[in-house]
Amino acid sequence: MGDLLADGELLRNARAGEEDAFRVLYERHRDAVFGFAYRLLGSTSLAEDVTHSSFLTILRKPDSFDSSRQASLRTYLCAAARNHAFRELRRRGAPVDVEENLDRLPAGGPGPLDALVSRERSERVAEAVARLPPLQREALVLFEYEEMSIAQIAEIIGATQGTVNARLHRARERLRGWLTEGTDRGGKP
Amino acid sequence: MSEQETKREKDELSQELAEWRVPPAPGALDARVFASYRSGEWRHVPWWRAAFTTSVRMPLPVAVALVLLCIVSTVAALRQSRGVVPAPAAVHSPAQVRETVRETPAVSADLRGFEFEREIKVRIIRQGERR
Repeated sequence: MGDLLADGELLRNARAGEEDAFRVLYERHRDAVFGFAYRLLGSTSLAEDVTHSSFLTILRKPDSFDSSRQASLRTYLCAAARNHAFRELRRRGAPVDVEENLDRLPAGGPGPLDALVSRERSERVAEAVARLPPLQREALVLFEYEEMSIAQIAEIIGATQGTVNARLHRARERLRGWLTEGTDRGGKP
Repeated sequence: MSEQETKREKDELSQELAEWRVPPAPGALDARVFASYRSGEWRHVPWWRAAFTTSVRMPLPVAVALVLLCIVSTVAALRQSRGVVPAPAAVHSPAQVRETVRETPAVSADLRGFEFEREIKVRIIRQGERR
């Protein structure tokens, strides 16, 4: 039920108490919101908290989401997740460590060696991204992993497209340097 | 650097970044979200809870100015309250009131025949000089 309904309608129905509508909405966007929060915070438990809070936020403040506008519910959810994640970062006073449970990462290949290599690569990139300042990190995560356009990112973070472009450019430059450095040394960045 | 090289570098970086995979969302998350949905906690947020969880971000100079304003107005209010001495409560018996009224001299101002001085003569009286 409801798989074909638009997000705006599902949200209205969910607010009216239709759990099925909420389930469709949640399953449609859960992975994107969780992935975004995880990449920003680098922690499964914090990403879980942020995802939980973000879905409650859209139920609590549905008027903030205007389905007639260009912005999709995913954009709105990411904006909510961003606010919760940054509140968490501010509360902690510093960016969170990269990973606390790498063994939960999905294996990248068929054999154990492939899995190990894949995990190492994943860890290397994760650590490099975690070294970025939070504002550059969120621009990069939204662009590279959430595959959002510059305009969408600008809307989420409340900045101009020029600012997003500049942050993205700086983030890429830094990452390129760190990842190349790590590869040359044959170790972590 | 040519546009093609830049694009190739970007692609290489994107490929490298794609190596970072996210672990699946924990199963506990689903249970937690649906429990919150069913409980309806998102429907009614008590005002006191909203008051304690709402935060306002403001630039530091504005915050400092507000704090100073609070301090100055508090000090001014305290000083004012100390400076004003309340008048002693006067209790008069009816007899006292009658007496007071009787003792009040009658003031009459009869301006008949009053004329303005046409010419003002200024005379300096030195100390010790008789008037």
